Amino acid sequence: MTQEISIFGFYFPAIVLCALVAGAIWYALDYAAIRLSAWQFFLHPPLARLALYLVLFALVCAFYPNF
Amino acid sequence: MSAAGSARSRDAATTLVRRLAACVRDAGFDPERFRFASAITLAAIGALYFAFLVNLPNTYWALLTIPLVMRQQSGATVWRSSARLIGTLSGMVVGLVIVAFFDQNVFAIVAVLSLWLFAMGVLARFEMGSDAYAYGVAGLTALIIVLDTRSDGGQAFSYAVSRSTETVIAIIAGFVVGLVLLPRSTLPLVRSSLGEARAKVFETIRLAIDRESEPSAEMQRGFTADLRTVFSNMRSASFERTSPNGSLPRMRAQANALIETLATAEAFSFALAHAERGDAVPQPVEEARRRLAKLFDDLGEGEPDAEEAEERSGRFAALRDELGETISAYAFAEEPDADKLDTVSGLYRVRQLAARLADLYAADAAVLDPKRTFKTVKPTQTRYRDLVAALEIGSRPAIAFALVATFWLFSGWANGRVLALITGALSLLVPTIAPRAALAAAGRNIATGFLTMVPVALLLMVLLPHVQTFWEFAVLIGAPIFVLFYLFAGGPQLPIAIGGTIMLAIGLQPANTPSYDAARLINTGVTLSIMPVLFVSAVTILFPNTTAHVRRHLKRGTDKLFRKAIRRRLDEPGFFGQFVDLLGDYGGDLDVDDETNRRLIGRSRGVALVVHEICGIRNSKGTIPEHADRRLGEIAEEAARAGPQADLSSLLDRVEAVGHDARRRLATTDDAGNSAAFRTVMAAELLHAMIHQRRLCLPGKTT
Repeated sequence: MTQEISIFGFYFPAIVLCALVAGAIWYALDYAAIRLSAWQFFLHPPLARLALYLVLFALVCAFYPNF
Repeated sequence: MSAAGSARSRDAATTLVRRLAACVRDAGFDPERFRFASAITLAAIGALYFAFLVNLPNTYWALLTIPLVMRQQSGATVWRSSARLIGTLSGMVVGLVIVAFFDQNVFAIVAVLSLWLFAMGVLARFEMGSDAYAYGVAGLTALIIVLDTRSDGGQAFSYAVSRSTETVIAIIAGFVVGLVLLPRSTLPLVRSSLGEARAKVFETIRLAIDRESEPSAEMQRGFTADLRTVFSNMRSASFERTSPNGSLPRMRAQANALIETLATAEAFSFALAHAERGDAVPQPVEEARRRLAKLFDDLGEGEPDAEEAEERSGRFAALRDELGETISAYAFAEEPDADKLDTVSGLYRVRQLAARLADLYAADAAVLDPKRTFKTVKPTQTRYRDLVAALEIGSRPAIAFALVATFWLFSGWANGRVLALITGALSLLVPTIAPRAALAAAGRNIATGFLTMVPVALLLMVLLPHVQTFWEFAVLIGAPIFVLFYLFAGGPQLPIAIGGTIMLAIGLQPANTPSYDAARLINTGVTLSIMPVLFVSAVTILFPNTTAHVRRHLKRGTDKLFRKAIRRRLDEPGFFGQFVDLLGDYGGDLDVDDETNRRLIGRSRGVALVVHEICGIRNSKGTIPEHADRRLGEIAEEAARAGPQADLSSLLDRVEAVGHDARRRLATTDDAGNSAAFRTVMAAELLHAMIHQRRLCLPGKTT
């Protein structure tokens, strides 16, 4: 994975971009899960929500294009 | 060891355990404080761990952020953290722009930073809770980036990125602990604050129904402060996405019903106490009042379930409907009939209170049973935006910073930069997180926290170089943080814990590669000790919160909101949302033993009653007779401008004229069912009594 990306000449860590993209996807999925009351099937819903974010973050990092 | 020896050791151990248990019991073991202190400690350790892991400079920033973003409830933590992040990012951008444009001129930097602090102070006063905190953080971040990199502008960007990263790390650690490991929903807090406000409102209703007395200024202040807390807690709860079945909108409707009930109860109380022209309340009114009192007595003590709440609502609604029919049987004539007016007016007030109680219990049932439908209330602005106060509050950090920075530049004192930074930042930040009346106390408590932690930090400097692993380090750093927050987590003492953690972070500067320096710690201690003195001076010398200052703002704010409501620039929920903030904020700081203060608070509540009546006319069906709402509003405005000795007879005549016009409209057969005209008659009656009692007049000298 590229270490840094350039935005208007400023270098930002690429991992931040991955975290933001994962956050956006998580936000939508979490909203849907709340509407469907899906989290109630878990023993500790907050932990499950965090785990979902971590999975998404790992996936985004794994498929991050190396440009 | 002999048997006797081991028995003695066992006894000694048992005695020690008992003594320790007694100490903990005497200190009042509080599981909630224990949970919060544990959460702060775990988050602080987690934040340091991640900061060390990515090997950032100034890792103590992450430690510094934790006590400022972690709150007892999850929603409040998210709200505060979001504010911190947004404030950091915007402060970072502004800081970089200032460095880019003014790096060569230190006086220009001080001037621009003062302006930035002023702008942030003004905007912070326009918001409440953590929204205000975001502006405080924006000011702080710009100060840090500009002043810390002033001698090396090229480093500003990487410095700003480090600062933001450390903030994000602390927020993530706070979220993991506060939202995942030890979550605590804000909804129970909203429920309990609503319960407290409700108990006080019911006390007012009880006094009103029993005709014992009008609510005292202290009671008025009490329920206004509680309602203000309800709004703030609701805002926190709105940051929790998982609130079950959308309970927050239902609670908002409940709070709105509570405010309407309160305003109606006060109108009832005032109308029955002052509107009667004869010696006694007319017989039908007395009878209706007794029936309402009986229904109220039969409510009992316990909390109802949804069915019971629905049933109670039905009982009050039945009385409302019955009284509605009784009232409609009274035909109005154009010419005034004092007895009839007294009777209808009294019955109307009883009916209105019954109607509001029916609505309140229906709202309760909707909260208790999410399947029930409810009347949605759109969220309104609950902050009264006081421009004059905002300009004063904005000037305070700007002037304080400019003065200390000038001293630093002319004296050449090395630590002057740190002092200027902290004085400017705290005089901007602390007012966004501490109530106005507690500002000076907050400054003193922060100083106490600083001093408490100096010896602890010195001890840690001795011990930390000997630790081998992060977990040993975590225990040594975590223990004082836990103790601080366990002892001082509650209310006004929280700044002690925050000050202590600041000292620990800045004085010790825990880092991946430790370089502890006792001289730096002592220097920091001395510098930080001057800060509370400067901060307390800033809040007590620059625009001090004296009684005259608070009275002036309460009077001005009441007049401004009144004007807006009369000119239809604010609807009723909008008015009451801001009015609760205004009266809770300024009224809460006034001593109600003082006659002038009591009258000023009473005047504000009188204005709220007038707005309630005028909005009632506007919300009713039918045509408003001859712009009666506007005319009554203008008359009330003039009454509110009048002094204690002013001649109000012309205003009384004008109110009677409005009532006469409305009665004439009702007397015509075609418009007999015009409820706007009917409410105009009732509002005119109430306003007449209020002007007659000089309820809206200024209490004399308010400054």
